[in-house]
Amino acid sequence: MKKIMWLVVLLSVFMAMAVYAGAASEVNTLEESAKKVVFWNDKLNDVVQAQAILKPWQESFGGTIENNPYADNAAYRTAVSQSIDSSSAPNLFTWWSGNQLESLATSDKLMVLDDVWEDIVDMGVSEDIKAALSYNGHAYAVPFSVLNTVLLYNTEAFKKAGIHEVPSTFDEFLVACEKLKSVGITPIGHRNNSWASFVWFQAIIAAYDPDLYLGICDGSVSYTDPRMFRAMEVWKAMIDKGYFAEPVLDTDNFRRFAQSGVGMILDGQHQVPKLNNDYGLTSGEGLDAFVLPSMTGAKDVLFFEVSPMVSPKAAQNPEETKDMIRAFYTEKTQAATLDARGILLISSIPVEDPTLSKINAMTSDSDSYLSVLRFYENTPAGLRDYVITEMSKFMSGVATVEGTLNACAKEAVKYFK
Amino acid sequence: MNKHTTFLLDISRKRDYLYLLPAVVLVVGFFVTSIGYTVVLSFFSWDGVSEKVFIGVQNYTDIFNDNNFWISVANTVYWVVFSLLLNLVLPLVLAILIVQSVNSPLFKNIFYFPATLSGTVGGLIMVAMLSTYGIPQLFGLVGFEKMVRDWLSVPVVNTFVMIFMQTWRGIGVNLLLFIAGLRHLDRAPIEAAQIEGASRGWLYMKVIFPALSSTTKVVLLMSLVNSFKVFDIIWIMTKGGPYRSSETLALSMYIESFVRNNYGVGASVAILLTCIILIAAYFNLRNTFKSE
Repeated sequence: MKKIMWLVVLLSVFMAMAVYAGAASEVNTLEESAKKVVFWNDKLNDVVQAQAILKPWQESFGGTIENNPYADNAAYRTAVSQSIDSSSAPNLFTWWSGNQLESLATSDKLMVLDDVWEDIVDMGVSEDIKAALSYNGHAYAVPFSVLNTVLLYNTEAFKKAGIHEVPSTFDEFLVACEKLKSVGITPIGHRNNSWASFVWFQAIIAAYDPDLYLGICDGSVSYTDPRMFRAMEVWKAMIDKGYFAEPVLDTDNFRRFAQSGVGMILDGQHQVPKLNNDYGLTSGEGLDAFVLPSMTGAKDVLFFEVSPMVSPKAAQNPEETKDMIRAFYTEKTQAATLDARGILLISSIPVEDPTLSKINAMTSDSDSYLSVLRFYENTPAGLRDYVITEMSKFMSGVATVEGTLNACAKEAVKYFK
Repeated sequence: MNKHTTFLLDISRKRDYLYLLPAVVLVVGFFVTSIGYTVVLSFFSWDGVSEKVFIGVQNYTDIFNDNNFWISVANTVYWVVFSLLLNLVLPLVLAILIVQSVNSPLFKNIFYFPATLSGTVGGLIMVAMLSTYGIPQLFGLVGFEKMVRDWLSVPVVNTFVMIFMQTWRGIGVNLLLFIAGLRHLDRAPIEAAQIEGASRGWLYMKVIFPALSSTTKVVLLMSLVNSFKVFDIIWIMTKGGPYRSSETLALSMYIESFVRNNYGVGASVAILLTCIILIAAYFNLRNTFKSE
């Protein structure tokens, strides 16, 4: 019995110490939080890249930014949803735009950032982005990155195929594909991530008719609209002619592209530094970019995605957080994000990389290009996931145009009643 | 029995319960409540952020009307059937060979080594090996150019590649169990059968395998549960793709809950998976307890 008594006493002491330690740690966090902000994200997993961006960001901020990157999206979402209402919520975290941002914003979980937007617009951030991050007249997020999807092409492969100018019409694009194929180069690389099937789906539909694309995104046009069938038949013909490579790992796709195994990849400009640094291509010499031309002579559609940063209402030190946000858009920090990720959010810094410079010029050339939010954030999440699966089947040749569009139309009815 | 003795027995019983208390608290706190919460959640629509909305059995009816769910069920059946076969037969054959070999510790370690790898690490190794710049290149070198492809993107083939991978990793533990079982067999009936002139096949079929039945049941039950709940390997190697064709029920549960944020649907899949495992395990456990 005595032994049990001792055990109980020891256990009680141990628990008391644990409680004290927890409380002490809470106190320490509170003391330090005056000069420290916590940043959760799913973007800065690469240690070298993170350091390159965080160093100037911290210097501009004048305090410590605790970077907490997550490699796994699902774990990240779970961590955010579990902490967003608690005092342990991060000061700032990256999220997804579209429905997922709307869900957080309309649940009254996020800090309104209208005042921050006034400052960062003065610092050179385009006010056009604000609309994609606003709900009920208030901005709830600021951009961590804005990516544009372009056709990156291997200039050596194009030269080998006798293509001396980038296609300016869709017909020229098809001719270029045929020329590449005739010299043994698969025209278009394709990665094996099922979710990536929407990239070509949105590109084809918008090249056929930008309004058609916007219509299926907001439900005003049915997936079984006759124009959808015609656009999908164009895509089907490209698949049947062997213009698309078999799906492979991301790394294999880049390697094939760098080695002229495939001529083009449809991807974001953030891949440009990676292709230069890791795969031996050189912007402007071996690597360049253009936008998939319209099938009808309308403006070429440039898809963009915004990765927003948001601050939970429950997070401590909101003013420190706002200072941290402003520090992200200083020239010093933005120069670092440009070098590390090929992404620039302010207009006052010259872009030296010729390919990135070209892409940046496209984004500000509204006479020639129509900037449109990409499909992933532009349509309800449940429908998006369904369409992506169906398009992946279609690209793999296991589903017909009719079957794919009928299935998508049936699913869309659930979301656009 | 006097009052004093009764009092002491009473104290002793209470003390016994006290020993059980920590385990009971942990099981109730982390296991039973989780099950209860999952059951409740399966009747709600919830994205993890907004308010939960009670929708009755809608999640279950949606699941049963979803083709992808039935693909997941089919894949789970593939996994269970082939994993059971491979994880039972291969370790048993290897154990018999290793017990008879002169250098059994060496072979035992060689076959056990993959078990020390986590599913994630093993999966990453396999993904790298199966990349189009890896093993498939060998096919190209011997003239089969069409076979230089990403096999993990080919439905059904990818499932069997992953089952092979799981077998490679899981073979070690079952092997050790069979080796231990074989080494502790009662030698008398074996020797008696040998004296009677029993052939090797007859000896194994009629004497050794029946004597190994308790070990076989443990291996079967472990392999059964492991094959139902397999997740890490599939998540690392294909993420259930292409077009959800390699998803199993465990993966569907994870994807619905934590990727698509359909926590109610994910919970419903979890409940269905649990019921299936319980039904499958029931017969095995019942037979095990009956014989003991």
